[in-house]
Amino acid sequence: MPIFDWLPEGGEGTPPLPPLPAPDSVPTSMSAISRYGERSVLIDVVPGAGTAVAAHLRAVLGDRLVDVVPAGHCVLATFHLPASVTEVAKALTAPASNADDVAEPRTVVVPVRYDGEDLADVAKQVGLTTEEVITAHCDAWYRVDFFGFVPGFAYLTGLPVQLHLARRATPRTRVPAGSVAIAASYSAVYPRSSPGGWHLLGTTDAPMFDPAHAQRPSLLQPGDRVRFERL
Amino acid sequence: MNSGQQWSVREIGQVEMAGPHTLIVDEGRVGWAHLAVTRSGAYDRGAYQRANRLVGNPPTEAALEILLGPTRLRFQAAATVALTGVQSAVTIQLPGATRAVDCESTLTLPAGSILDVPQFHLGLRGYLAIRGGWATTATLGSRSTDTLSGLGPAPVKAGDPVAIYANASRFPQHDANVVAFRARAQTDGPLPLRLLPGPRTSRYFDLHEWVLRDHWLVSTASNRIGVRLEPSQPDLPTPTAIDSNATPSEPLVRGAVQVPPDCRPVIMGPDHPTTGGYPVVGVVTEHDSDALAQLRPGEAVRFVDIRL
Repeated sequence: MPIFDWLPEGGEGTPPLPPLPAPDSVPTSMSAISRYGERSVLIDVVPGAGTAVAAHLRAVLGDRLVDVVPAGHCVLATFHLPASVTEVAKALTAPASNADDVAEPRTVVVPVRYDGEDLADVAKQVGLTTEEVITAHCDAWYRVDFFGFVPGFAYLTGLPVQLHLARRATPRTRVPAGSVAIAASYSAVYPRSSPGGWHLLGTTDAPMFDPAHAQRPSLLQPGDRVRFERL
Repeated sequence: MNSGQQWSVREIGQVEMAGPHTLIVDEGRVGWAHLAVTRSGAYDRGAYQRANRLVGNPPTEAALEILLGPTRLRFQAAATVALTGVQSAVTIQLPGATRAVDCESTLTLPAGSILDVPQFHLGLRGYLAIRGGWATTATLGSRSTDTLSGLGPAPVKAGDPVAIYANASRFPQHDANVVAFRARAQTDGPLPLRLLPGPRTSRYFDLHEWVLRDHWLVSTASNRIGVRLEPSQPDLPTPTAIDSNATPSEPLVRGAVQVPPDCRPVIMGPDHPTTGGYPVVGVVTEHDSDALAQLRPGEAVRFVDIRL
């Protein structure tokens, strides 16, 4: 059950995106904060609001938290010490002590060669030309909603609705690293080769995830705005 | 060492034989779950910490996590080691002399000796700590192997060097206090696992009741990603069908009990995926999640409902 009554930004990927709410306007109409084991709580949010709520919790609770993990419609907060639902409830309504603590979302441009194996098939399934598919995909604004599947795999919301397709009936056993893909209402870049069932539209050489860069291993961060630039 | 200082590495021996799955572990990759990097680290955290304590290491030093057994290390230089979490007929071998030694104790090995760890009688994962720590490169702040993503060092194999950080003399002297510990025997009956309900208590009320109904057997498909369970009785009624399309992906934590459509519960281990789309009926306590590391396929568990 959604608990934050603000609306996620972005609609179906029509640029430009409206600004995120200011940190002191984190809404108070919450109802569902659930315990999740000894050290974690799960907070329900309106789809798309997860990264903003996660950034706010990080700003307010700081080092008390081990992890703040946004997902599509909820946020996991894990503490070093036993978790307290009351503490999280208070933190959600507290103003961030310093507005700078809640970072402005960055904009990241990912250059793409639209040479994906599934481009023609996607065009056929959605009733567009390949050129129209490419234009629709790279004209849209995306946002990093959450990470999952493998390290550095970012689920990007904002895929134009005419490109929404179920995953491939038969997943590939190996999708090459750098593949730019779509499935359901998401787009993503495979950070490394792995099995995968998404439709491949193109390829990027951008280094999506490099564990050797311990300060910032991932090109994308939760909440980032993303555009694909056609090469 | 995680201090960020440069520590010189000293090779003091070789791995002569490694078991089927020997990994380097520490406390894991802390704070990267938002990028889908799971924590990983030692499965039986209590045993891992005891091993470090017995050799006087800081509690976060890397150690070996040995699955099931046979492992042999040869030491060119003197070393201090400890094996915890399991029962095994460990010996220290010198030319012309073999001496039986204990698990859960500080072992001092002279130069030229062999540490021989046969297959464990009890338990599944043994923790072998060495004074100075197992030296290997850290990835995202951890020396642990993450078997799901492949981050971290490769599994240990025969021929690998035994390397430690040379600054161990700066560690406090080890305490040789015997730690009261008894490895669990199968005759102890089903292992009780305390289950905290949630986070979706009302949505999965029936499913939560269902996992509490009977005891379960550890499946051969269990690993560090999760312990998979099978019903102890083949005629266990299956719960009402779960529409997995109606359960969106949510973050997972270690110890979460997930029920996939095949109705075989999975208890998330240290290398669990950071998100999952199947119903979670509760979370096994951290203490009992450690105990799961030592269960072999076929051993029984039962869930005990507790509320905080």
